[in-house]
Amino acid sequence: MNETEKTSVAALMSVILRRKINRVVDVKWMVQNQDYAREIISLCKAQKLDDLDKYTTHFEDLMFGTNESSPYTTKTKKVGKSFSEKSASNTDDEDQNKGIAPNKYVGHLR
Amino acid sequence: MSATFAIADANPANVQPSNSTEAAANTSLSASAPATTQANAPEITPKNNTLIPVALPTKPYTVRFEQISAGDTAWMMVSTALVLLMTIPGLVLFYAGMVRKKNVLSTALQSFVVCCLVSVIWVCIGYTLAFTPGSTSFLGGFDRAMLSGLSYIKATSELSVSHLAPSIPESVFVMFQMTFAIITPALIVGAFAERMRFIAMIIFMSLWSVIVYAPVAHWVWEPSGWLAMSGVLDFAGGTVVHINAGAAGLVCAYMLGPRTGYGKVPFIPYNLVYTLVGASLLWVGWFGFNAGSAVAADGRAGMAMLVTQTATATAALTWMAIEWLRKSRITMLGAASGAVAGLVAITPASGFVDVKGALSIGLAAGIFCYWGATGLKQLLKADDALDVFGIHGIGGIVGAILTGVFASKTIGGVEGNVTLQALAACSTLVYSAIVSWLILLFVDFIVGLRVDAEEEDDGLDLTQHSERVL
Repeated sequence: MNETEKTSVAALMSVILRRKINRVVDVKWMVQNQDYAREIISLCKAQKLDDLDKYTTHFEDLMFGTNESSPYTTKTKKVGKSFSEKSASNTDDEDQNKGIAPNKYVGHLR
Repeated sequence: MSATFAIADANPANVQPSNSTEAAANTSLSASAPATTQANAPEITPKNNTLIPVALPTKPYTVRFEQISAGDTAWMMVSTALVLLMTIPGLVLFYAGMVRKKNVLSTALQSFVVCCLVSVIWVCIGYTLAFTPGSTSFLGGFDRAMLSGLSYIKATSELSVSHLAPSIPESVFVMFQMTFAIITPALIVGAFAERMRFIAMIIFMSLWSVIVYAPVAHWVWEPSGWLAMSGVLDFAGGTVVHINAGAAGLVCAYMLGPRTGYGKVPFIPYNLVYTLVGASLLWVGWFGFNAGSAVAADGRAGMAMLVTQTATATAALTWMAIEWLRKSRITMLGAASGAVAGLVAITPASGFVDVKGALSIGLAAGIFCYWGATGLKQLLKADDALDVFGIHGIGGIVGAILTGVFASKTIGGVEGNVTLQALAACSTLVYSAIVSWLILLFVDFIVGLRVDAEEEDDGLDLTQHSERVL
């Protein structure tokens, strides 16, 4: 599954949660830990917020592939498949750092 | 083009023709030159079969359609489009590629919005403050506020022209100068990238455009401006655009403070291909910027184009050579940065220097701007995110001073004065820095300059615009 997409949707959810109910969540842990992800999904669904529901459905589908009614299911599976076929790595922000010297871009750009 | 006027040029210091042939054409007054329709327009008075020139106009006036040069007008309309291309999408891509993924959209949007904002401000108040004579030599008047008086009257075959560009319609001159007014504040965006509130950016840019850009343009380019009257040379905006933006950028960087994690964690550029595409668009657009500043499709515009290409390539090669010597690697970002440095440095000199001068200016730009973006940046301890001061500020200063060294009387009709050039550079630097600081204090007081730490961590794309690059 595309980790970048999971992180992006989780980030969108985290922003809404913080703004609407002042709840801060750990975006990276949401993507890495399924139990934590389920807790946050439950929390989000309980809020009954339209924009949040949209992202929650998408995130749940990306994480667990459980929501067959999700409009994202088919698209996501296709994208995920093509991604995995084309490239097994280099899709995450962390992966983009590979091969770059550790002090490159630290305190300077050029 | 009417032979009545000395030369059509954005810079009043450039009022000498570019070569002897054109000099003869431009200075010999033709009895058949159509009379202008306003009292302040130049007239030719036959007296004992000799033609006596009268004073050149000092403010916009009205002429008949026949006095407009189709060639000049066509070139200036193309130049205007080229200079606009430098900002959208040139600068947008150049900057967007260098910021982190979470701030790409906000950085791109900032330059885009500056374009919209300054366009409106320019027609309302900016143009009149910059390009009409005022009661002092420091600021223009209000004659053209809301562009009142700018005319195109089909019934009488008359239209208005600027006294700075008598061979093209004033509407084209307004547009051409508008694109300069747009790109100057848009350059500053790179200094405060990734941390400024969007609303604060809008207020700052609006005020800066009126209080800083317009006066400085008046000083240098309007014949009644105090630097113009002193004989300062700035063909296409090394001082007005680049030193001005560089100084403001540096102040912004200090006022906003460094980005969270600056100097501790790497800030990975999103996509440097965008940056190279942006730099290439800037390069192409710069022909409109420099050659267009001749405000005529003539030999001097051709020289400006030639030296622009020469200096840019030289600076890019110089930057790459320094990188090779220092790091044993040549980077794409370095090559693009070197090219932009060369473009910046040749800007004030482009209508005054020959190819030898261009090679020298390109070489100096590569060396000094490399230092500006690396060594000087460390010394200044400001998080000038995309090196606006290091490249535009330093490049502008190098270009301004070297214009004084390499200006050729054969090409520009005037000789340079290094002291004067340095005075103009320092005056602009100080004025821009102080007034920018005051504007930032005001904006900070009313809306706050910087996003909070959490919003910065999430990225401006999400927190300011609810969008994100996936």
